[in-house]
Amino acid sequence: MDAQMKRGFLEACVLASIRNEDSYGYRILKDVPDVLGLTESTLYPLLKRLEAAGLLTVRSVEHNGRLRKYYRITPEGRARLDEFVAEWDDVQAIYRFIRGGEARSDA
Amino acid sequence: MSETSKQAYLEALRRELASLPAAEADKSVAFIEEMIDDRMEDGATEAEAVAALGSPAEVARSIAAELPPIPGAVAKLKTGSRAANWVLAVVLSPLWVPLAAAAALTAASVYLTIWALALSVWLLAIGLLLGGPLGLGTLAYCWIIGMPVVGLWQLGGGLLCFGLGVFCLFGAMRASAWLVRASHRYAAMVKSLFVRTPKTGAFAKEAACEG
Repeated sequence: MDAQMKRGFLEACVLASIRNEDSYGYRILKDVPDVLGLTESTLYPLLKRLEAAGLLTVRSVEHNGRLRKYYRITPEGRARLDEFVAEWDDVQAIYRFIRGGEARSDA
Repeated sequence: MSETSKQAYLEALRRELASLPAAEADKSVAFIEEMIDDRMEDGATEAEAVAALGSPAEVARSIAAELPPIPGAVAKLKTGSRAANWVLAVVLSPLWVPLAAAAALTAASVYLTIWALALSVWLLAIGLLLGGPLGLGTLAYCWIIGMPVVGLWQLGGGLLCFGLGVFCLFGAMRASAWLVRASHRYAAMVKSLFVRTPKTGAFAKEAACEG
């Protein structure tokens, strides 16, 4: 997958994984679809970026005698996610156009 | 991969991240440590949890890749220690001090030029606006010395200037508003070379276009 496209999808998927309840790094990593190839070292900068953009907040919670960071989506994060979903129609139109080009070249 | 303990892995990662600011490196290591702990809680052995991560060098590289250009370049020098970086920085100072000074002066002079332009438009507007009262004054003076026709002519000239001045004033206001925005963008651009600005990939670019 194109790197830029993957990045956009990853950001949306991470936000989606904390949409209904707060989550932590390892669970986010497991929740995000495998096809995106999310790893620890890409998740960390991604979370930092989303935090800096005000799309999520972080808090530390004591868990089994150690600290675990929980991520919570902000209203801005929700709005961004809604925008992303609303764009689906446009994406489908583009996808159809690309598929159409494939059919034309086959003919 | 030989069996690496969590502690050894984290120490190796900390060394790889040595050229990052200490607080930044600590946070990165803490994040990876949490991931190892969570994997072990999920049933993995310590060795498996560590093996699931990439090598410390790979992890460090992908963390550094997300840094803004200049700290990123420093991090990629990979001297392995902050001290070595400082030594490099001092040894190479005849090179980077003039370069940094030139960059700073260029940035400052672009600012000055922009604002000097704005100032000149404002001064032009003020000068032209002064033509109005000046025309009135000249009319009064000419009336007193018994040359009312010349006075009227002066007043006409003054009013013409005043009209042009009002026109310039609007121009100056528009230009200043634009300049404020332009210099914000410029400052953000200069800043983004050093500090990661809160932008988020393709996702954020769309938002920026809408905004």
